[in-house]
Amino acid sequence: MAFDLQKIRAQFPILERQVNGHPLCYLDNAATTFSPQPVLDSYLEFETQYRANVARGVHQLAQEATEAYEQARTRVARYLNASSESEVVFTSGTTASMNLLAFGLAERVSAGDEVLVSTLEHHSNFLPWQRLCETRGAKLKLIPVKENAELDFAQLDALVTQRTRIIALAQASNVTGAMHDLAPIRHAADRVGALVVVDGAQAVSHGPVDLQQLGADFYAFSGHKCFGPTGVGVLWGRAHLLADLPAWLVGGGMVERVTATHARYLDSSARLEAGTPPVAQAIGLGVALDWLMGLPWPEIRAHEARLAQLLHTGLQRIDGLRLFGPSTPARLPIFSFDIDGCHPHDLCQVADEFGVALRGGHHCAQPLMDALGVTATTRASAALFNSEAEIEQLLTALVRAIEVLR
Amino acid sequence: MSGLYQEDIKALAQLELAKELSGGVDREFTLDNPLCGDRVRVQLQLVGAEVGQAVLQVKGCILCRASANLIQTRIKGQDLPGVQQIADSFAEMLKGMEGASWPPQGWTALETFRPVGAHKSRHQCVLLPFKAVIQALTQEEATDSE
Repeated sequence: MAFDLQKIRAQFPILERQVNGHPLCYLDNAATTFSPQPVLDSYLEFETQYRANVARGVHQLAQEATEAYEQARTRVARYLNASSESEVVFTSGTTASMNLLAFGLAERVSAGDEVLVSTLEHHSNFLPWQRLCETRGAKLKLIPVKENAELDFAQLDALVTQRTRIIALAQASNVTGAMHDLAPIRHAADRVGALVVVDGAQAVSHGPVDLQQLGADFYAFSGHKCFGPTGVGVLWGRAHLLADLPAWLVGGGMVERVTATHARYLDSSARLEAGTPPVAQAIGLGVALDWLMGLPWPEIRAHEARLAQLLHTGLQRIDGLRLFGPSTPARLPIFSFDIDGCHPHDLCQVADEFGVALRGGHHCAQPLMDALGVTATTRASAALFNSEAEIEQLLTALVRAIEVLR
Repeated sequence: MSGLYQEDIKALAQLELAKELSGGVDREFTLDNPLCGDRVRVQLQLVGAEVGQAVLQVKGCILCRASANLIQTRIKGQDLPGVQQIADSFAEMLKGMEGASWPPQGWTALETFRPVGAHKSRHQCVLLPFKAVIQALTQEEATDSE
């Protein structure tokens, strides 16, 4: 399939919207992306043709729903290049995945042990570990950031010690768009026998993931951030590590046998999917990832790099703008910035008047905001369906916003 | 444009007011808006149960700063029930449900914020300084929330 931006955009009906009399210019993809028509069609098909609970009934609709749900699991495994679909657990999102993991790994962390995260983590990959350390008497250590919000990996070897049990890191920052080289993390973890947990929520929409190369022991992401539905996400784990995780939620669908006094849980990863799962959502996620797999990724990556270049260049030309993150445009097209005399909330409000959707706030990364000495930033985050014209629309809106606000 | 950033609101936000109390601090409180990062730090000097002097420092948007500055210029002589009543009245106005007694006596300048009513996501920006003052007045001693 050749890259045709207009054909891709045509698959997103919401892009036809007008906002405040202007064409919608949606640049809040780090918060949530849109879903293409095939994903939208999958909901309707499920609801009108084979809505049923999964892995429970023998009637025709139940069989079809179960097959579609498991096919989604296979599609996730394929997108991640996982060894087996049995390594894929459906959750409600990255937050649930990380909480499940922190709960499940608790026995590996004792008083005096250490968990290493970074200062720029999203709260979903920060708070579960902070709470784990509090409850286990362990120490939470942070890879610091430099003044421009880049992680200071020079301190990694000093931070990882014989007491380090878990290293949890974002594959890409939701604030700065920086993609992190995980090889040093894997190397440092192997030196001391620590597990590597990777938050893939931001990276996963920017191309297929290769878990055979990434160096992660666990990987989590959310469906709604990769063109899929809300309410569904994935926790991937190496088979032998998943097998050791205790059940987090207990209830229907994850037991071999329950008596009045005892329960025996399933050995498989189904043990970690208690209750009726988000069936339609998981199916939609599978469709989204299949759709992504079919895209011409070399061209898509070049397109996103072009968008990042335009953002980097255009933002730096604005007087009084401080850009956070890598000094080169070689990053995901996610840019956070601060403009003298213009609070992010106000900037976003005025930008909205011109149809431009941005995000102002702390981006669920308050430790990073503290490290940068700000309470909030403005963030523009592009996706593969954004155009160069939309970047120009953003830059024009920012200039206009500054005129209004200063 | 929506009228949110009209000159009256911007002028309020840009007022140069005292940044420190002249005298001791009787009550102090810092309140954050967890959604957007606006932060209001309130310091109060009391005369009995009433505010004698107030300083509100804001790291936040224009709307939050404007509201905080208005409070700083008007709040002298108010006690906790009085501030609560003004805040409640203000919140009702923003929802388009103000009563017959609107605006509160001495607070007609709150009408400046009427355009904020149409933007529900911004109500908290202008109410946050009031909430910070209320929290400060309910403290028994001068303590910083952080």
